[in-house]
Amino acid sequence: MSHGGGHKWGMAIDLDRCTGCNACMVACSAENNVPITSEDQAGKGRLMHWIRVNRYWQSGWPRPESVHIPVPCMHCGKAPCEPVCPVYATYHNEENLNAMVYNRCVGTRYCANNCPYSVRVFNWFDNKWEGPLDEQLNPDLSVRSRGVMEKCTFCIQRIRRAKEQASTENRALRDGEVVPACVQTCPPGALLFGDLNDPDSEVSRAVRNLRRFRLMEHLGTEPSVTYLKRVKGGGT
Amino acid sequence: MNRPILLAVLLSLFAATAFPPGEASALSGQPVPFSHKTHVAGNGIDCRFCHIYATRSASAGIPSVAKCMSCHRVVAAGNPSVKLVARAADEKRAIAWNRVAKLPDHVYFPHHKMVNAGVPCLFCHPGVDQAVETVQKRAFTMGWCMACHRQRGVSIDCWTCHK
Ligand code: HEC
Ligand code: HEC
Ligand code: HEC
Ligand code: HEC
Ligand code: HEC
Repeated sequence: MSHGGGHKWGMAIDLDRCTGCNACMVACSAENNVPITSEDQAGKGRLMHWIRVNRYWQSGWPRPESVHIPVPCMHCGKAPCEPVCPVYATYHNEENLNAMVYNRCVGTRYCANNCPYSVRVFNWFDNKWEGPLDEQLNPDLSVRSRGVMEKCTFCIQRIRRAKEQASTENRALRDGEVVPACVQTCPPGALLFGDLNDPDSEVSRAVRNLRRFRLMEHLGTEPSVTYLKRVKGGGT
Repeated sequence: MNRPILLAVLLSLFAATAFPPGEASALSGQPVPFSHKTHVAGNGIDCRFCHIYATRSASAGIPSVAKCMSCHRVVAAGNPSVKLVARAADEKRAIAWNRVAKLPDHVYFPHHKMVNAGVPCLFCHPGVDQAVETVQKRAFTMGWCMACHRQRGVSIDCWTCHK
């Protein structure tokens, strides 16, 4: 099962559904032991989120309209972060995930500097969870220490858990069984996750939608996250 | 003036040689002197009878006080150590056992996967069946995990074990 079982994980984000509520960011931080950054530190560019929601104003008063774009790690097929790591702490695994081994990381930050999507965040400090918040830390992940890079993993611990459950029940993994925290929490259901190798999975069908595009695709990064957006206006 | 420091250095040197790195300390000092030897070697109780989650979940689990009392309401009820267990049961309190076999926080180890694949408990926890005080004699190094995984064709992807 673990040997090239043939999964190719991917995500689809429907921007026509996204309301910009930021619930994905909250769910992600809670699931993945992501520390809360102070305003002061955020101002220095040290904000720590594994998914963020970019907001773009399309028009101003009296009819303000905005577009929101949730940006997790793209798990690029050709990830610019990988070749620059001098210690192989970040690499591509068999299931098309851009993996990050925290305990291997020595903190050069080359990977973050080479990421066109700016989705990698760095632990500048040893972060503390004051009681009782420490009680809600997720035991399925380590708490990363100072000097370590971290980023979205597509909730690898949930992928692992679902695979274990399926193998215990002696069956194949079902579509929709792996649900990352952001996907689970999204109120309008704008986020979809699944196996791109399964042509019938919900995410594969979404990815074939004509509204599709990918962020900065021209860079050749081959992102695993596909966005859907209806283009308004008088055509091009 | 420097004598206490010297003493401390000598002691720590002794400790370092007595317990090489990676080897768990023998001085676990459990709140109740629990002997695997009495229970396993002496009375033939199966590991899984007490560590019931080993075949079902990532952690093997430590038996509850209620489980101890299912025997000890009757068996050796007068033993002073068993009385400590009985008191905990009466006060509805868990015994705060100290960990013995432990991996660092960044490693994921699913017992059920390996136990159900037929790796015997004592292969990884050698001598526990004969231990008066529980010790972890085998060091859980990454190389050791990898060697068996390679040999048996199990995944050696970093994200299989690291979290
Ligand atoms: C009668 C119940 C019982 C049986 C049977 C039993 N154990 Fe235990 N085991 C315990 C208790 C209680 C502890 C916690 C106290 C201690 O560490 O000594 C424990 C602790 C352990 C630990 C250390 C856990 C830690 O704290 O890190 C290991 C390893 C272990 N047992 C393995 C085994 C193996 C292997 C067998 C079978 C050969 C076995 N046990 C049989 C009750 C039992
Ligand atoms: C492949 C090696 C391996 C096998 C087989 C194995 N263990 Fe373990 N055991 C470990 C490791 C490694 C740890 C430390 C896990 C950790 O810290 O996350 C551990 C920890 C434990 C613990 C304490 C923590 C816990 O998980 O509750 C107990 C109790 C235990 N083992 C009992 C057993 C019993 C009983 C069996 C047989 C049914 C068994 N083990 C089989 C390697 C093994
Ligand atoms: C399946 C029955 C059974 C269970 C469950 C059990 N024990 Fe025992 N225990 C025994 C037997 C049998 C003896 C040996 C009595 C004797 O020799 O007189 C014993 C002896 C003891 C003793 C006396 C000291 C010694 O080693 O001889 C202690 C302490 C003890 N057990 C603690 C525990 C604890 C703590 C638990 C729960 C984790 C537990 N036992 C669970 C059967 C059990
Ligand atoms: C004696 C052999 C042996 C040793 C030692 C061993 N393993 Fe395993 N491990 C296995 C086998 C066999 C499986 C496969 C079970 C299966 O495919 O269901 C496995 C499966 C796993 C899995 C699940 C892999 C998957 O694809 O789902 C993890 C995680 C794991 N081992 C971690 C460890 C760690 C960490 C250690 C060292 C502390 C370790 N193993 C030591 C034999 C071993
Ligand atoms: C089969 C399980 C397994 C796999 C696969 C695995 N590791 Fe490990 N790794 C471990 C265990 C167990 C330890 C803890 C060893 C110890 O405590 O001595 C460890 C420790 C480490 C450490 C030392 C951390 C420290 O702070 O001491 C590094 C670095 C590391 N692993 C990197 C990797 C990388 C990179 C990969 C992928 C190429 C990888 N590991 C794959 C089980 C594994």
